[in-house]
Amino acid sequence: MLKYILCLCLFLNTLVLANDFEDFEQEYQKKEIEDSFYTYNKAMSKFNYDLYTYFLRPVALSYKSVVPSFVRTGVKNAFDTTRSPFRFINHLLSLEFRKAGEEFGRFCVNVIFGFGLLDSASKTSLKSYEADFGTTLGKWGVGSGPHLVLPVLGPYNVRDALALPVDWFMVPEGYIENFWVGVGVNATLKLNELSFEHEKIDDIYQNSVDYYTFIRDAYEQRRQELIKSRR
Amino acid sequence: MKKIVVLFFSIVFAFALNLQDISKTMQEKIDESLKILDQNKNDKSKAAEKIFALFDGVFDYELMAKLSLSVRYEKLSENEKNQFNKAFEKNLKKSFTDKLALYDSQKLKVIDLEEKNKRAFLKTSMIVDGKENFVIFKFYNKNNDWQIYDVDIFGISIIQTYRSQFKDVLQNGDFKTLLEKLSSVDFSK
Repeated sequence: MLKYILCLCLFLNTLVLANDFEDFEQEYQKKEIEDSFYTYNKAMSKFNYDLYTYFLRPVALSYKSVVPSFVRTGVKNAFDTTRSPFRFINHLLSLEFRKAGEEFGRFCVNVIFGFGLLDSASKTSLKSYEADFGTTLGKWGVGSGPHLVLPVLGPYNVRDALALPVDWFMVPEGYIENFWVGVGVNATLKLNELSFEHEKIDDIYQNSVDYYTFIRDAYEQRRQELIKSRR
Repeated sequence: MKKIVVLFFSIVFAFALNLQDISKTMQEKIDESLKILDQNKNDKSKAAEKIFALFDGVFDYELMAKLSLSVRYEKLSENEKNQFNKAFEKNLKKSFTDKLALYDSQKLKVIDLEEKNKRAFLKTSMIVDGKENFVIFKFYNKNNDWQIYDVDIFGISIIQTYRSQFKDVLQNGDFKTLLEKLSSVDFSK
C-alpha cells in the first residue's frame, strides 16, 4: 500500500513540476529581445571589444595610476553634478515632480556644501533617480525598437540612439564652442569614468559565456527597469 | 520502511522555508553575509565559500540550470544533464565570487515580499552613488519549501541573461561547445 502511495505522490509531483516548467517558460519568453541587426551588432561589438582591450583599457589604467584617487572622485562627482539639471529636466518632462524636487535639492546641497566636487547630498535622505531622454520617451509609450550597437558608444536601441542628440543639448559639455576643447573635456570625463568602471567591464568580457548577448540583454532589461520605475 | 519515509519527510520539512519566514530568514542571511565579507576582506574565495554555505539550501541550482537551457534541457541524456548542472552551478558560483571583489560594502535591505501567481518576490534595496537600486530574489513553491529560481540585479535577470547566451551559443554550435564555454570561463584574471 505504502509503495502505491509513494508512486502516486511521485507521479503527481512530476505533473506539478511539468506545469510549473511551462509557467516558467512563458515568464521568460515574454522577455526575449528583438535583435534585427544581429550580424552588424555582433561585428560592432567585437570592434568595441578590441578598442577597449587594446586602447581604452591601457589608457584608463595609466590614467588611474597617475591621477590620485581623490582627484578622480572629485571629477566623477563634478560630472554627476553637471548632469543634475539634465535629470531634473527629464523628470519634469515626465511630470515626476517629487523626483524633480529631490534632484534639485541634491544639486543645491552638492553645489553649496561640496562645491560640486563632493557628493554631500548622499549624506542626506535625498535620492537621485536615473533619467535621460530615452527613458522619458519610453515612459510616454515610445517602443525601444531593435537593439543597436554604436561604434565607441556601445549598446543602445533605436529609440535611445535617436534620443542622443537631445541628451547632448541637456549637458554643459554640449555647449563648448571650441571643437578641440570640447573633445578634450569629453575624453577626460569618459576616461575618468572608465577608471572607475574598468573592473566591471573586465568582469563582463572575461566571465561571460558570450559577451555580446550578455551585454545586449543586460542593457535592454536595465532600460526596461528604468522605464518601469518612472511609471 | 514506514519509519524511513517518516524520517525522510521530517528532515525535509525541518529545513523547509515557509512563505511567512522568507523576509526574516533572508534578512538574517544577508546580514550574516555582510559580516562574513567584512571579516574576510582579503580573501574573497573564503568569504564566497562561507556565503554559499549560508544560501545553498535556498537556491534551487538544478531548476536554474534547467530554466537557463530552456526546452533544450529535456533533450539531453541523463549524463549530459548531470554534466551541465555541475558546470552551471560552478559557473554561477565562480561568477558570484568574482563579483565580490567589486563589492564595496553597500548594504542590502529587505523592503517587501510580494506574492503573485505561485511565486514570491523578495525586494531588497541598495543605495549606490545616491541612487536606489533593487535586487529581487524570486522564489517558487517546491513542495511547501520556498526556493530561489532567479535573482534580478538592478532589473537584470540572471536566468534571462544565461538563457540568451546559451541560445546564441547553441545556434552556432552544439551542446559540447556550450559545455566547454561554460566550463572554461576564466575567473583567474
